[in-house]
Amino acid sequence: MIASASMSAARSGPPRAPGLSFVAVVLLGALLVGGRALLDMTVGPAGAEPWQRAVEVLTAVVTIAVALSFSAGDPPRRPWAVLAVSMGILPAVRLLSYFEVKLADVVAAHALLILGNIAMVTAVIGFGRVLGSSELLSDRTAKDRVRATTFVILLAAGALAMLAFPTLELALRGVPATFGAWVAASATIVSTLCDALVFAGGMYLVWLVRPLLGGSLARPYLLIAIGGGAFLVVDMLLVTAGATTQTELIGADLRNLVTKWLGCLAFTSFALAAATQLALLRSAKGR
Amino acid sequence: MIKPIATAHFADHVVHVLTPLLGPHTAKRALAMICKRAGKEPAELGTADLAIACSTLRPMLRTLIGNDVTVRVLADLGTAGPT
Repeated sequence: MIASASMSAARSGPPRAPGLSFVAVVLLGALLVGGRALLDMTVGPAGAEPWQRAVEVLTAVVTIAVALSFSAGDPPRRPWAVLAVSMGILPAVRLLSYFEVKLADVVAAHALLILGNIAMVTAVIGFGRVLGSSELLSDRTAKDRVRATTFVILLAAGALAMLAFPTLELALRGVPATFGAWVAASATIVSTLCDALVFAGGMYLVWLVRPLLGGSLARPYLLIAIGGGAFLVVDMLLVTAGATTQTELIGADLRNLVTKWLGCLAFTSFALAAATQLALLRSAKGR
Repeated sequence: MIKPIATAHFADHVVHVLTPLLGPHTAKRALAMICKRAGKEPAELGTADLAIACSTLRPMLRTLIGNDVTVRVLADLGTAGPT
């Protein structure tokens, strides 16, 4: 019977990976980002903004669904819940930004943006801790620990170097005169720092899940890393444009469009990360 | 350090079930951990070692993917495998 099971397995080939296939992820990504680009080119950036908002809301909804799909006590549940908070805050940032809500002279969207970015960093650190705690992915030798620590230190140093850019740019604009201006400046710096940390954390996740390549478990974390990288590039472009959020970019010049497409790619990557994780969890419940 | 091992029989079944989720490298590594725990070579593993396989894999899989998927994967090890 053992032999027959092996033969049966050999006849049927490797079993299909649970969750969303690689092709489905690529097609959905192309649809979401391509849809934004198509609308920008045909009806203009103003007409494409609702598409972007829809992608952001979709990202929040799917991420929340993942957090709710884990059972109580599942280790990945907490970082997914924190990521859901972060992704849920961003549509709220857009809404507050649209209505120009202010508390005293503080733009409410800027204050919320700081919280959302901190939550995102916390989530990525949480993913790293969960993955790093599994014996399957860690040999736990002294050599491996030294290598991992060195890797994280180098990434953190890179992240700090990234902070120098927006700080210098802000310094050249002059010292903020009001509390609200300080919050706006802080939002820009915190956002860039957090995106640099998310990018560094995303690279660390890739390093952690590299033994899982070829398995569906690796896909959400690889997509989170792609999203983190895209967010970082968006932030750098926003800083050079003197803006804090994408909604502040006016005009249809190529730099603005590329910034918005990358922003769409970032949210799409996080949405697909959540969707692949959700499909994996649902595949277990559906059997 | 536990090295992945090329195997046959029940061991093949374990790798076959785990590969879609964990990828080929980690699936073989998981098998090596089961072998180490059972004190057997991969070719010596049989259904009698299913309980050891489950107790070895359960905490590690639960950490990575949660309880529901872990239960499904361990059920696949038992139901679709050799008898």
